[in-house]
Amino acid sequence: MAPITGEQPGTRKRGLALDQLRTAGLVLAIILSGLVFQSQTSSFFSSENLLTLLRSMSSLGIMAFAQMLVILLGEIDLSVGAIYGLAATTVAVLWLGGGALPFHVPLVIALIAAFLVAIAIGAANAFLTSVVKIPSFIATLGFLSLAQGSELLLSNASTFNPAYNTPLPSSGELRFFHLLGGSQLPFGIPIQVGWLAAMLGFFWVLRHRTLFGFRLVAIGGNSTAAEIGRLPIRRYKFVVFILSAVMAALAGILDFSYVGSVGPNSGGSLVFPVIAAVVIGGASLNGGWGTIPGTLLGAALLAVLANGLALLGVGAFAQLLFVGFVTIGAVTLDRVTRQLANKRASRVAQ
Amino acid sequence: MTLVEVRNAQKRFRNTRALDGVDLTLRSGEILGIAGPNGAGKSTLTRVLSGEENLDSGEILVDGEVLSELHISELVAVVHQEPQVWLNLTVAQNLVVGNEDTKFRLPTISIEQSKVLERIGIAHLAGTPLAECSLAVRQRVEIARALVRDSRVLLFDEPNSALTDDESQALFQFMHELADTGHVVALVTHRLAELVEHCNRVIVIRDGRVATELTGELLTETAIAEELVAGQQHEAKSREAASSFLSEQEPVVATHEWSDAQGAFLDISLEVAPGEIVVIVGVEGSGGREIVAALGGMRPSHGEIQVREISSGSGQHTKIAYLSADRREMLFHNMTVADNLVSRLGSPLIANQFGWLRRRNIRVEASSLVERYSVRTDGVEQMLTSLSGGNQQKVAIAAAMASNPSLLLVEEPTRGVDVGSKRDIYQMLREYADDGRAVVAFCTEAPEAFELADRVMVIQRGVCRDILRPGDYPDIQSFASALAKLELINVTVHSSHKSAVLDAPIIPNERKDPA
Repeated sequence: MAPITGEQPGTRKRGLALDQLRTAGLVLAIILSGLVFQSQTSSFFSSENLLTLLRSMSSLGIMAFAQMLVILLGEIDLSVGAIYGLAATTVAVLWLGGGALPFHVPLVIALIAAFLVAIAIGAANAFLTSVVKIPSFIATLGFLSLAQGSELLLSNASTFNPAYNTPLPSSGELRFFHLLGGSQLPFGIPIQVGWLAAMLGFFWVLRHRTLFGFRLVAIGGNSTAAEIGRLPIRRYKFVVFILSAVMAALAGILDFSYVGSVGPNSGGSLVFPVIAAVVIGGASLNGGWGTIPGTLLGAALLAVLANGLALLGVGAFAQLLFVGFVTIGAVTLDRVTRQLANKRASRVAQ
Repeated sequence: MTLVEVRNAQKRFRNTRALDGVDLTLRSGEILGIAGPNGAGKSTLTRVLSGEENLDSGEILVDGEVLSELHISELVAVVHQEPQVWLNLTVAQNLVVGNEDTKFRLPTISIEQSKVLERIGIAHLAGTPLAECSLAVRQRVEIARALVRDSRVLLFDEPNSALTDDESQALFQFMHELADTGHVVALVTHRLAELVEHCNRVIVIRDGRVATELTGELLTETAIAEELVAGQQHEAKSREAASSFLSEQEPVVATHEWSDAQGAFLDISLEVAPGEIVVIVGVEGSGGREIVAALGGMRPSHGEIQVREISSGSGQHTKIAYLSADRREMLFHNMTVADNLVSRLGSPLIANQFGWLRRRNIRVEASSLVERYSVRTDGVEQMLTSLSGGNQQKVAIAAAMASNPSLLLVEEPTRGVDVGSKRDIYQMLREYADDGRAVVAFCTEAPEAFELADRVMVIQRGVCRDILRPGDYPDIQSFASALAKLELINVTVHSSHKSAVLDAPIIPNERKDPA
């Protein structure tokens, strides 16, 4: 076959240009919806509201960062919402007593136990996916149900409130628990915003600055090539699924601490926004594509919409409609741009 | 009487001209053979002829009429190397799919359709799920589908590469029957003996053009072999010095009575010395490809095998690196050229002991690889997809070499690659071996084996049939005809064991095996 020499400008750095375009589009969408809400309510851009907004996206963001790594590998974790609820309930039942257990333990031990449960579920998800080779969609769907069921059995579907519990926990424990997710940093910044920033830093470094992140992109982009190149696929899957489960547990416990109480099935509706944030942020469900800044922006867009619509007094049910529209719209738009870019590139090449 | 004419067909994929002005006539009543080296455009021609691919320019005429792709695909059927059928359906259901002739009722097999099954001798298997049938039966189902749809043109694309001899004979007999009943039949194959035995006319495709057409007296294996390798320049090689010192050194890899766990090859004894390139040659299904994959640890095997690690200089060392034949299986299309080149490396080369990525090292390492192996790119930070096929192939090989394997295993190192890149790749592999490493490659083409190898191991039906030294032959032609003769012996010997071909469904091995 005869080679055609010369440059093909259309294909140059195609992936990078698309990424930048997407990031710019997301930032624009966030600013635009902010301006719309501001014009309607005039309180959207107040510093108070912006802090509220950031706090409200904290658990979504933390879970989405880890979910992005799962999706980067070409897998999916549907069990995060259930783990969120199970972790909070485990802490509540073990620490406060009641529920299905006849005893209770100090807070620290309850917290450790909750994270161990999350690690076990994450490891089980990874085991089923990478060793038994069940599709992660099914394996984690199974653990969604298993975790939800365990939560309800453990708690007898009751609500826990540490501050009004009998017997009342020690004031030191109460203070420490409140500190986790309900306290404030200097300048009135909610501590959950601090958690979000810390996790953003952690996951950004992990994804964009380490060998681990580099190999995740490779494994997700072409698992056969990764196998031929002897990359540690199985180990990476374990780490990523465990990270996803642990972040879900962290988010659940922080929200429990912030709200001050936890009821049955508290994380049930979280799995959709988490995956939506990742996908809006430009990750491909086929694996190999996805960035932490993109995921942050995806989560931010969803949080802005939820916050603004709440300010406008649109009910929670209508908000669901909006989130659905935005998710489908963003991904459709992304698909269309990608196709256009591809078409242009191949035209230039000819 | 059907007449298919291809006029000045041109087809270009991104950076390569797959078809560069093909003129071709197919007539009913004869079998046309299509031969050509890998990457010459055979498979593109098949796809174009069957309407799977549009032409950039040029036209296809059937009985003097220009037809669109849609019409062509109704008229022309391809019988693939791997039949495109539904394993989850029965033989009869496979015939019905797409030809249901009903809107609401559950479709069943029609009388004409069952007649077709009878005609090609698989009527007794009508109710058997295809998953339980042998490859030969699956292939017949594909032929039956073509007949049911009244296709007048049948293209056989390497149809018998995985069939037994008796199955092949039956297939060829059927191809003659089809030709005799007025169908247009074309056969694409690598096996020269079959082209000579069964075809009325053979065309050789080279570099996207019809290089020659052979008929009658002129149609011989030697003539085809010469045409296949013509136009490829060869430089005189100095491998005499190398072969003398080879035997004195301890081998990098040594196998003894070493066999594939699934029976693809048997009792292979192979020793490869440092600095040596051994090429394993065999047709598809011979077991040659599987030997390379098993050496690379990609297939289970048993028997004696020892691999010695050669450590010289600094940097990362691995024992074995393997490259599969399919470029898509070896490269990361979502990453840049640089990231692909270092994808097999780890700490400390591209990351520190805490796993922190050393971006600058990656760039330096990648740039030096690009330079050393003359990969043509506008910069290592480009996406891999912006490179031509030949340069992508170089990236894949360079990425494997970057991890410094003592034993480098390559399947079809230049599949689908242009001539210029081919030469670069041969040089890459030669230089790598000259550094005191061992290279084992699987090739299907005589010129490639001649160009690359110190020793050539010819594999047939899973056993080593002969070992040739390209250095013993004065030129490529004599080497190619020596290889072709080995194949000829095989073809004439084959009918010694007769067995019932299609009596019962053959359950695939993996199903029988409880493990």
